[in-house]
Amino acid sequence: MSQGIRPAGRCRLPASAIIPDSAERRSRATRHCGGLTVTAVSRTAAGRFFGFAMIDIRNLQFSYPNSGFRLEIGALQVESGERVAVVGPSGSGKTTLLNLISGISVPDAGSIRVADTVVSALNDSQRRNFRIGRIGAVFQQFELIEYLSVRENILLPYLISRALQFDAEVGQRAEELADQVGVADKLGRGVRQLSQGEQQRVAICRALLPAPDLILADEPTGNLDPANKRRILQLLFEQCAARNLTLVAVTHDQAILEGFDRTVDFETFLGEGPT
Amino acid sequence: MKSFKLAWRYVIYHRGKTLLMILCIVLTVLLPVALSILLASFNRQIVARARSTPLLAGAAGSQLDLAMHALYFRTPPPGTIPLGQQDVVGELGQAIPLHARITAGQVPVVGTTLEYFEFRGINLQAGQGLARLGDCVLGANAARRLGKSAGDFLLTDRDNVFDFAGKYPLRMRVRGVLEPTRTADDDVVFVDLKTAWVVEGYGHGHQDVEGVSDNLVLERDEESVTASAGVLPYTEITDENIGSFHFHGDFSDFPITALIVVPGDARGEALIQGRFDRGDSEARMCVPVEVIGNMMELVFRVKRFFTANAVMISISTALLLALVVALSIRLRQREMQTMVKIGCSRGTMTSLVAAELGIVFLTALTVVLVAALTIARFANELVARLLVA
Repeated sequence: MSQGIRPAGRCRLPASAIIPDSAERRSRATRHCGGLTVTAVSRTAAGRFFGFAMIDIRNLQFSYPNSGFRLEIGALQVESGERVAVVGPSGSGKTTLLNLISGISVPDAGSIRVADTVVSALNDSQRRNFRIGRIGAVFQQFELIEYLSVRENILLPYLISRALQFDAEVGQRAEELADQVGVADKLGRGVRQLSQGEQQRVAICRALLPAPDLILADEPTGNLDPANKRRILQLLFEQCAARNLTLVAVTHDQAILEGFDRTVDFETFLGEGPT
Repeated sequence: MKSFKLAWRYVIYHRGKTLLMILCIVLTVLLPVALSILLASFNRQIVARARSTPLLAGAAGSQLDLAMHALYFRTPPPGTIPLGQQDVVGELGQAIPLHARITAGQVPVVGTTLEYFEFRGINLQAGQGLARLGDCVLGANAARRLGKSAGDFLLTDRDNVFDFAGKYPLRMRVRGVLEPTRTADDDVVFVDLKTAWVVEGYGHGHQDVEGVSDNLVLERDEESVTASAGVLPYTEITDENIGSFHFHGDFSDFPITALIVVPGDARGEALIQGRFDRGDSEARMCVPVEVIGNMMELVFRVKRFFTANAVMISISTALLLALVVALSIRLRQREMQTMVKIGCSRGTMTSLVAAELGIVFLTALTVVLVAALTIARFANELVARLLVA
């Protein structure tokens, strides 16, 4: 099966939609992310002034061994601060695209660049460090660790990686995040004691804590009731806007698409072939 | 450290499952370890007791029965030999008679001579030693078990409650309690050899037949009086009636169940063994350390089977635990995939699982170590109570 994606230029958002709040951007600190030292302000500023995208995918080819699945993307760009929804039928490669962007999977050919990092050129260790420091992941099933408390779940990236160093400031940031998403009073509880909406809020905190450049959300509202769906999406948009984060979300839910800046529909481009 | 923290949270959250795994490991490892410790202690104790008893003479029969009877007083003797057999030893060594066929409160009563206490190095803890017929001294454990102390009285057990013509229980005076020795001597009541014979009916005291009613006299002539069973035998030896106690027959013909022989030297030992091994001797001799050594060889042979069994069980348990761990990891695939998606390395995942297993095994081995040390600490007493006594 061959999939095609519309060239990035054809569905690029207007400039006003992608220029984030500069004051918020400047407030972000310089971070160490494995071997990569990244200063968010300079990177986003560079993106703004020199016009490079947060995600730049070119001539991407990927296939799973021993399966007929094949994903080909000629070019896809996502601007810094942009909120992009990826829709399409099951098995069309939406989640695979997120895995490729985050470096979980490696393309057979082509390049993937996220901000100033060519992800497709990184080795395993570098991709892990890139992922934990620069990508925030939100999943459909929340994927919280049941034996950890809410606080520990938010701090999970710092508990599983040597690339991130936990300190008092991180702990304080975790509490602030929890306060912002409305779970501050549940930090000491087990995640099983939370409602589904609360669990997804915790998962969003976990994704935001390492101050990533990019949030990749795989069906973030797929497991929620309509009321929670709206709230969680609103929360995600607010948090991304407040931090000028780029958001790429895979979804099946047509009802939530209006909140995104752009929609990439895998089905629409099915017949167009690779670009 | 990060892996250990996560692992700790995991084992605490799944504490039921973790405790079950720890228990499996503890039982699998501790049982053979405990058995080895107890068996080693048993061997040490039983061999030490045997070593301290150079030679034993007793009735022909099982040498093991004789050794176990003379050393631990628990098993019945193969038979009796006459006290006169101690003369066979003569000037070549010391002979200490033992007669242990009666009980008091289900505690063995050992008739012996004062030389026995000297030979075993047993001292009094309270009270006084044996002074006259009808006195007894209690081993430390026996005193505790019987709830008696110096000044109390102790009744010997009746052979058969339906045999009115049988031996009468003797009310013995407890003169003292012995110091604990952590040997079989702690679990018995010691009496003088003659007191043991009195209990068995070889000696007795009774009302003066000269003074009893004519109804109780069956026959009277110038030399003797034959009285009926209505003449009351005394069931307690007191200062007042001790004079009436007497034995019918020659002491050298009276029975003893064993004779401890302490040769003066190696030559004496060889000569004594030669004398007892003669065809016309009524007693047979055994060397306790050899008899017990043979028995322990058999015990250790059986233990080897047990050890092989324990190894097989350990392997089975290890395989089952490996299966449990594998299934657990499989059940946690989603959790692990989430961590990998977030940015956790395979190495960290491996170290996380290793830390969890480490906590389980380390805890189990700590429990085993503490339990083993505790067992080792109390092994001598445990063995003395459970196995030897």
